[in-house]
Amino acid sequence: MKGASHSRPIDILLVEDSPGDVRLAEEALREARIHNQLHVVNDGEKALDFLYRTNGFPDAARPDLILLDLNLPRKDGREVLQAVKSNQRLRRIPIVVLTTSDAEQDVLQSYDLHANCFITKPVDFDRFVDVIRHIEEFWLQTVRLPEE
Amino acid sequence: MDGLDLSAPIRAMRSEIVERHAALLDALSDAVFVVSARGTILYANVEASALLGYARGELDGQPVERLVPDPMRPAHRQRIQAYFRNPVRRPMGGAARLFACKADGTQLRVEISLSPFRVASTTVCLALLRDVTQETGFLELLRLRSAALEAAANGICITSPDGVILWVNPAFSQLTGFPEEEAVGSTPRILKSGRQSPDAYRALWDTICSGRVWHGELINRRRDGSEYIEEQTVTPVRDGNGAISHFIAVKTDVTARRRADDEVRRSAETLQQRTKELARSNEDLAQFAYAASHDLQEPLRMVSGFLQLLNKRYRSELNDEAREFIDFALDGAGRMKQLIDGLLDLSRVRTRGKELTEVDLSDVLDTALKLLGGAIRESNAQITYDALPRLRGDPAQLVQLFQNLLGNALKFRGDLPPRITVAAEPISGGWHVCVSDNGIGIDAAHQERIFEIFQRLHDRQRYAGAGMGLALCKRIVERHHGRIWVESEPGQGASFHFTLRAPLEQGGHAASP
Repeated sequence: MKGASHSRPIDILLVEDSPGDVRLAEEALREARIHNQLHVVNDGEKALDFLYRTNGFPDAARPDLILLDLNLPRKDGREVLQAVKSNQRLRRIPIVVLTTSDAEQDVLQSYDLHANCFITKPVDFDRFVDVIRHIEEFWLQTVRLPEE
Repeated sequence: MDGLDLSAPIRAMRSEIVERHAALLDALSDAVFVVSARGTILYANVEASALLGYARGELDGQPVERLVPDPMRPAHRQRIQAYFRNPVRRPMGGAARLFACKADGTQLRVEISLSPFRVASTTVCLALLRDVTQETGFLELLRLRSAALEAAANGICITSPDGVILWVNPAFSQLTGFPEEEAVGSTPRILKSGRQSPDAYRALWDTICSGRVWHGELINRRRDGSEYIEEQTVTPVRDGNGAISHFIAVKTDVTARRRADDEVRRSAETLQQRTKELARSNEDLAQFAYAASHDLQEPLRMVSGFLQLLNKRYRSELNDEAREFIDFALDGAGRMKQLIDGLLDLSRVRTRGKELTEVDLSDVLDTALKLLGGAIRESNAQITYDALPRLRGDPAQLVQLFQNLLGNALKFRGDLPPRITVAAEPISGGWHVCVSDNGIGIDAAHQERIFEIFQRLHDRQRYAGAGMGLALCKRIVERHHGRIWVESEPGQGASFHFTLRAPLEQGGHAASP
């Protein structure tokens, strides 16, 4: 069983277009306790290619957790969310919407599209690290994820 | 001159009258006296006697002076003589007012006509009397009313039923520029300005011809071509048979008044427009402030985040100078964050303001106290409060308000542990709340500008903060239709007062929530 026993690294798919934010997430995850493998894509289309294992991602790992920004080029996060959560094979994967937006509308829409949770990126780096840690502790240690 | 005169000539004349003329005289419905050249009443007909209250025949042979009021008696004899010197048919007295004495001593206002007549070869005078007492009364009233019309400040114009002007008063001429001689005989068409639709005139005619009063305004033109606005009432006058005999038009120049009204209305419209523009401008500003602060967060995260990483990972590898640089940079980033957060909070008062609902201020205070729990314990503060009322408001914003004010009271404490009181009293339309502390106080010079954004009174080392809290409080209070101010003296603590009011029902406060 994954998660609790850490037999192999957790695969996390980060869908984020800002290189700065990617780097910060990487650094934050590095400080996290769990051994994880971070996969990064920069836009919505690549995210779906990765998940469907098409177009240059034939051997993509199946992520245990997706960190999804909403405002992305090509296909935006909302479309990715909708696609994944309506796909029988993929919808079990917990998706954490991690975005700069704090608009009420975005929150509602994300939950409507079955995001597992919505987090507004904090400005402070230490707090960002805390957030990543919380995500990790909750989704990867506390909750039980389905077998695949 | 008193005493009967029954001399022979008199008797002769009387006989002839009685024989030949009495029947005719008595049949007349006018009062007739037959008077001799010496002033003797030869005959008073039935009507004459009755008019003056005498029995039939009682006046015959009497001197006519008996009927003349005392003051006129002396001159009367001479008048008679003057008449008989040139006896012609004429009214008596000319313009003088004539009175006749009745048997009971009262007087009648009369008009008298005199005619010469021959009886028994002698010239006598037939005097016809008309009682004009009532007529005089009417004439007096008429004269009074005419004077009133003449003197009236309103222009008055009387026309025939088909609109021909019969009479105008001086005010009419002054108003329209048409002197009486030009107006009379003409019609009100002389005042047409051409700016009125034919429908307006038709409506006027229809109204008055059907016997109703018309009241309204017209744009008319004076004789000199200038235009003016006229407020007019036209009243039809009916004759004894109920038919319309005249129209009376009363006119007033309301040009000045209309112009003033227009000015007022235009000013009101401009004011309304400006208010709307201001509201829109404020809205735009609020949205801009929100968008700007929101968008600034992202680059700030980059700066702050990587500075912190730099600090964390490489501080030990840096020299003192580099460490100092990083510290300054981090400090700057930290303050920028505070400012942006403050701006966001400020703009969210409008953009995230909830509809005002029933709120219990005691609950609000409880929440604020809970949020400040740590700071309260840490400073050993004592907070006392009155029973607080229920009112209409935005609960989250009111919590922010109390949190800020209480937080400040805790932060800006003096050497003593903070003692804070919260009191409330009702005022018209709402409540007046006061948060007082025993802290360091505020100088009078600063008491207004502390409510502006980014205003700080102390250096950052001693008291942290972006200088946004009171600006936020001000905006929240304003959203609740109130005011906020401070009473304080340095070293004597501060009392922050604010009012919270329910919005007025209709057309009350112009400020948008």
